[in-house]
Amino acid sequence: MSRLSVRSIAPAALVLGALACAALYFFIDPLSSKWIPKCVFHSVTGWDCPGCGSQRMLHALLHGDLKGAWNANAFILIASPLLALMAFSASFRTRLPRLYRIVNSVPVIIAVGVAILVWTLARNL
Amino acid sequence: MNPNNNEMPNPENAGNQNLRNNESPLPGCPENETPESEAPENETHIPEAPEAPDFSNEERWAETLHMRFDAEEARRAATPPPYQPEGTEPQIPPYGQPQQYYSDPQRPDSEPSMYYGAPQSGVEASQQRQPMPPTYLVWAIIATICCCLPSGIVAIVFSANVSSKYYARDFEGARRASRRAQWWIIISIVVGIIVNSLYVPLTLLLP
Repeated sequence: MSRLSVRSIAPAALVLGALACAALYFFIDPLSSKWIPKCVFHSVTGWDCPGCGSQRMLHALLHGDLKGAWNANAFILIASPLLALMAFSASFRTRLPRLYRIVNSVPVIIAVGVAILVWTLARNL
Repeated sequence: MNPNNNEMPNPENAGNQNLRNNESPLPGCPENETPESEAPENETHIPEAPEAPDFSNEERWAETLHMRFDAEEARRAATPPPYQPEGTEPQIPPYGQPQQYYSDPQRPDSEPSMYYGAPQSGVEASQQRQPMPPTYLVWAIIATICCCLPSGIVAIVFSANVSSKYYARDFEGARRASRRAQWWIIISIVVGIIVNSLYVPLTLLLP
């Protein structure tokens, strides 16, 4: 019973959370705001982590600035539709097992891991 | 009516669920109204299917003696292995893995609808009976990018492990790797939250 209600609430909560995040990053510029968390890895080492610039990317994307989004974090900009596909297949794992098997096949996962590492290296060189 | 019938249907045990539906097709039973079990359109009685023995007596004894008795397990142990059609190799699971039998292996249509399509043979058939355990790939990517690079990479490696073991039909190993991937994701998210919550107030205070 409780599992069923959690299942029915989860999509609505997800949509609401996404809308709240969108509103936050539309109205607050991560560069000028003091309260938006900074990347610890970047502050300590001076290098960019693979996710550095994702908040700026979101802010630029919500204002229709594709070039700014690309400059802030190109990797997440490209990967977000693929990530959405993965999330979709994960939420329908038992309903669409063939899609899940394709999305989570070994070459795909290895490619994802290698892509993240290569992106981290490439943006710091 | 044994008490096990009231539990939520678990996708991993879908075969047993099916078997249970076959032996007691009660129309007004609450388990038939759950979304997972309304999908399979079962024939009421299939003559070739081996009759599963009734363990309600044993269950009542276990209850009075305050002992643990799993009717599902006993039924599985008492059920003979399914008939293998010609041309398919018998699927021998790895040692120690609980085997799941279906009420009628000759009619793949009687399987739950979440395994869509008829299993052809061999690997394809066993994969359709058992969906891939969650690889948590999305979470691993998010954890790697946003929280903690090293432990997130470990989580991605384990989710690749889930997939490779699943494709090698080591379903128990795949499930173990899935659990490990889950743990590494939890570790990296917790480490990320702790480090950030320690560091962000510092940046607010210092400059």
